[in-house]
Amino acid sequence: MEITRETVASVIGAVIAVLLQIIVAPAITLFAAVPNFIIAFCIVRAVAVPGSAGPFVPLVCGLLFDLVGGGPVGAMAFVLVLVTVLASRLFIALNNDTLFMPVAIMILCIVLSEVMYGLIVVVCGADVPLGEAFLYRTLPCMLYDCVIGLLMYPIAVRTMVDRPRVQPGTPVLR
Amino acid sequence: MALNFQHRDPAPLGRVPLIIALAISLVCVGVYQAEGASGPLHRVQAIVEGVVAPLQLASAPLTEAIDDAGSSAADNTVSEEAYAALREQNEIITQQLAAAEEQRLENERLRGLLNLRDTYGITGAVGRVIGRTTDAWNQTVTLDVGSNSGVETGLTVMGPTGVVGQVISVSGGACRVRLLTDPQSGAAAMVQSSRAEGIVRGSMDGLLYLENIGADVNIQVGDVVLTSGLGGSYTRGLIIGTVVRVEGSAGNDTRKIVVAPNDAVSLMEEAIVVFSAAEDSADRTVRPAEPADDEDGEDAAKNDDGGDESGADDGTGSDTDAAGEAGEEGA
Repeated sequence: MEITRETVASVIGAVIAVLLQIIVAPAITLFAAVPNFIIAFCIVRAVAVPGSAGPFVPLVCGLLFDLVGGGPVGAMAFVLVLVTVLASRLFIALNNDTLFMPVAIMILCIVLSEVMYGLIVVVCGADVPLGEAFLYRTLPCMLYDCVIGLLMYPIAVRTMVDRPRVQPGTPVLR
Repeated sequence: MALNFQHRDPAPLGRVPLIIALAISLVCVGVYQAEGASGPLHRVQAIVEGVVAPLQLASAPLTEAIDDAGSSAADNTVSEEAYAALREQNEIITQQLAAAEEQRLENERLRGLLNLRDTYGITGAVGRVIGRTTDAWNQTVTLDVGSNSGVETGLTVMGPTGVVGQVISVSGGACRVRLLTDPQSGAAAMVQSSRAEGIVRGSMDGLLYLENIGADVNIQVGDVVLTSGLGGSYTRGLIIGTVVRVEGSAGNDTRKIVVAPNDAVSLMEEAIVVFSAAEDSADRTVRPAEPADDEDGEDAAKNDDGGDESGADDGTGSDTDAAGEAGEEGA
């Protein structure tokens, strides 16, 4: 396997996201909404480097989230693998060189992840009405995740994306 | 100029790794659901929980720091130069005061736990809360006592003034406790005054509901709710909380009974994992939690003396009376 800047940044980012989830997330809980740094990181990564964002990092991050938390093991891994692939493909298909498209895809996929995970948790035995689960958990969590995703995106683009070499004097976006 | 952050790389995403990853995760979910609490994935989850428990310790000071951030921001406008000496002196005094206050509070909490232990004849292990839930779907805390201290899955956990939850997984030096307020929690319960039995369940909105109570049973605001021990999941006779709201009347199947937990779990720092309690603990007089701002106990004394002045809204006086009456009946 070739070690590129993207790979290194992805691994470091994943480790930081997991640590943030364990250490910081419980401390910044707002009412019942616990932020999910792992969802935010995986989706931001899928949008920032859509061509090379494979399923390995989301799978491992998702499994770690499931093992550290109390939910069904594999549920978050399944959701992240599916949604990150969807995010990458959507971005490759719809990218129109504006900032709107990655942000829109990112928010859509974060919402989708929280909804899917909520559904799986409810189906796997959490004895709660779907409406309440959506209102009290999914909705506040997705809003929190979107904010974190928006903060993470510029950092991810800065650190993960290998910029193509340009001729001296060519104007570049900084 | 259009913003182009992207490095175009049209390399197709491999389907085989994707299918393998999806298959692995689906198999994990299937196995996790099919296996029991002692299955391999549950065991791995408990081991990982034990491994990350020390990391979770780091979040406690962070929580305090975030809580203090607001008040600290207000101090930024004060001139440092003018008050440097006084501030330095003040800092030392504040540190000493904080340390003393911390010790006093800890002392109070531990004394509360000891009182509770004596009241109910509890044998158990006292642990500190070292971690809280890392996801929104599980209301859990991690205690620093595990199988090395004799803790097992399924044991009841009490805070300084009442039941807070049940142990759901154990590692060597830590255990995870599912709180009563978790929607997946359910404790067989009974109303102390009428001995009516039901189930106390958590909910997504964070309240506790007393369900499956007979439609003809009269429930009053202020009734004390205890664990009934039915099904063996919770130790019998430990206080859960008090009834604070009854929506609907006796004879109405759809009535909702809201129970206020006797302990504020968000503030809890120590808890007892209950190994066993006295046989007659259900008949012993219990004392519902006092209001947080009641420092000198004057209000509590008022309630003990009569309690009628406070009315039925807070229910404190009538709770004690009801508990006392129940205790006498039991005796």
